[in-house]
Amino acid sequence: MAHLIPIVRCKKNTMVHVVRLLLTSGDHLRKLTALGVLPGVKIEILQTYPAYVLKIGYTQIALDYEIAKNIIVAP
Amino acid sequence: MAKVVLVGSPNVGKSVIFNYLTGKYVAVSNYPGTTVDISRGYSKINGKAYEFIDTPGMYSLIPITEEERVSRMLLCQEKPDIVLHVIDAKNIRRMLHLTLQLIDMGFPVVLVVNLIDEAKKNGIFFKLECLSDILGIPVIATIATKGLGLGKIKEEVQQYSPGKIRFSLLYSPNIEQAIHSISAKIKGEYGLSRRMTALLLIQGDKILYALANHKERAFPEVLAEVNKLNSYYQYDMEYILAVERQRAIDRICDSVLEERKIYSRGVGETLSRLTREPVTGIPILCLVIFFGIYQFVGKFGAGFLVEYLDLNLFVPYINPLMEYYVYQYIPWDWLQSLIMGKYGFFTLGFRYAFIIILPIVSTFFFMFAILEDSGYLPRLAMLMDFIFKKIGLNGRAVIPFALGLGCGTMAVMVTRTLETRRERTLATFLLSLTIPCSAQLGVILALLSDSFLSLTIWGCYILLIFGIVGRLSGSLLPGNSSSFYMEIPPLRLPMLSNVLHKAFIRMWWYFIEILPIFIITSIVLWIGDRTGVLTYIIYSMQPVMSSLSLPIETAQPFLLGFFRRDYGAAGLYEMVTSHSLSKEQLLIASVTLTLFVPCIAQVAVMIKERGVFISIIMLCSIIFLAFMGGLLLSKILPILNLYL
Ligand SMILES: Nc1nc2c(ncn2[C@@H]2O[C@H](COP(=O)(O)OP(=O)(O)OP(=O)(O)O)[C@@H](O)[C@H]2O)c(=O)[nH]1
Ligand SMILES: [Mg+2]
Repeated sequence: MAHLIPIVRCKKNTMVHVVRLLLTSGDHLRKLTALGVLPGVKIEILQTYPAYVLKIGYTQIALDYEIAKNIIVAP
Repeated sequence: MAKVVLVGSPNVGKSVIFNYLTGKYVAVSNYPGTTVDISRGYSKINGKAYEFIDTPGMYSLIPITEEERVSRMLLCQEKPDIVLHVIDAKNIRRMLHLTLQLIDMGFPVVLVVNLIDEAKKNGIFFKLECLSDILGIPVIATIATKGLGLGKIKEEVQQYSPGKIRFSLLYSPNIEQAIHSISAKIKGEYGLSRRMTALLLIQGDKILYALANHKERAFPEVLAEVNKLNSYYQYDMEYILAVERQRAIDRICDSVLEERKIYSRGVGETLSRLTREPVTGIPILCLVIFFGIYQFVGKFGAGFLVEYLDLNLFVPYINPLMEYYVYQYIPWDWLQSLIMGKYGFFTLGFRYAFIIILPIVSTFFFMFAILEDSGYLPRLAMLMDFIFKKIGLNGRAVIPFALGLGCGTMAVMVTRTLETRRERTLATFLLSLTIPCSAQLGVILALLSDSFLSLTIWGCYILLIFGIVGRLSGSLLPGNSSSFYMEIPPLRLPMLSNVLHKAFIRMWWYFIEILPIFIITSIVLWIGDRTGVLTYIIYSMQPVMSSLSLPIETAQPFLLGFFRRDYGAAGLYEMVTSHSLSKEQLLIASVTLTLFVPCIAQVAVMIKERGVFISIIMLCSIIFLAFMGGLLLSKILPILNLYL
């Protein structure tokens, strides 16, 4: 079993997949679901600073650290 | 009349389709949150009249931001005959959530799969008949910008008959059971199906809670059911339902999609990376500001065009012609002065509006439309996020601020795309205080561009005030700031037709706005002048002006500034051409006028969006801060003893 880490600990240009989201405020969860970040989804990390830019499916989304840290992924 | 509502995620092409269906034009741009209010249009298809409604984009039925709320309310209030759900083909897996929810709401849905061209480029192909069979709703493929498939939408609208079989999505048994018992308890009418009402209550939807709390006698029992269901799960129900829906959607998509992995990293992707990485992004931003705003709007629009029109058109032809006719044919002295006098609406209104403001505003809107359509703004938003966080906002606020450089009135509307009330209030305040609109910006750039140092001081001083006031009011205002999330659309090549059309429409709109104001302004000033009140006011402003080390005549641009900031700036232009201001005085006057009260139209929108009370507080603080800002600068400048 690969170990799980929050996406904010991953390096740029890696491919990961979402395992689960942290239990946080409904707001964060709602934004993530709205943008299609759900368990099982593959994510490519395009950029980590000044905000996280993630490629999900065929679009890119930008998230700040506060939201991104709730995404738990496995390589 | 049959009512057709266009809904869908932000930036999927709803407005392009609306424009096609109605022959109207609402703004189309390449960033989420272009449309923030409802537009209605009417048109006939084969002799039958239809009403089409364009809505702001929404990510889900439970709104996060204010403009999403507008769409949600509309859906529940309008009882549409057809709901056109427009989706982005390449992101169909994310988009079908709303489709399924709309079906669950009991709406007659037609699915419009737009942006097929971009999907193809990514190697995604569809079997749409198959999707239509599974969902039991009509499905239409379109490429809105090329007009492909749009005729089909018309056909479908015309021949649509509700009552076909629908796809029904079943959630887990315990959720279904809760839906069942809650919908049995609900008696009220909310503009949606019982099932969806129950589903929204389960997800803790605030809008529905407030309504149901009033209407439902059995509301406590409903709540008990909701809580019981919630206690089974660790996560919010909204998330649980989304995960279950996603499973169903993935099953559907596996049978209708064919994804051939095309891994292309074209020019677009490289450019996209360059604009969003800070190392290259910040230099690119500087280039955009230097060439787009300083060179094009400031030097070309406000400098060259204005001077050209003034010296080659107004002074030699228009003005003498008017003078001739007015003095020849109008016998009354009062009417002559109302038209041609110092405050006459030809001298003041016409000249300022057509010769000074029009060229600047049109160059700005042209340049800005190119930026908007390319998709640069969302990238700027993410680049600036960490700076805006320092003043209690986040990157999303970049878009209203950038728009504010065009027209503050538009920008205040667009603060709807911010999440919390605190952020909207703060953004409205800073917009009104520190962001000059295009006309004002252009005039100031042109006036100050003689001395690079003056221009730099002006820019830095305004930025400094933006920072300090933002920081202070950010920490004074109650409430939380929210975290930054934004979809970054692909960079797209702006289409000249859309750029011109949008720039023209905005310019026209701006004009219609200022037309009555310039007439009223000149009439008011003319009356003031005739009765002597104006002299008195100007006289009584003397202490203020002299404390700012400005000549008494500067009172006039400031009075104009009360009506419109850009008129104030145009008044300055007048004073500079007659050499009645020194370089220092010009700088002080420019700073004060930049900070000064926004125009009447913007105040009206402020009142509409933020309420009278907050607006009055804001206006008073703005007048105070503007003069304090000017005063401070007038004290600092002599100490620095700069050669401007
Ligand atoms: N390539 C391509 N671009 C499209 C298509 N349809 C729309 N666009 C572009 O997509 C962008 C968004 O279009 P809009 O009509 O403003 O989108 P909207 O859904 O009204 O967006 P909001 O008002 O933000 O909710 C614009 O830049 C359009 O030019 C299409 O079929 N193909
Ligand atoms: Mg729109």
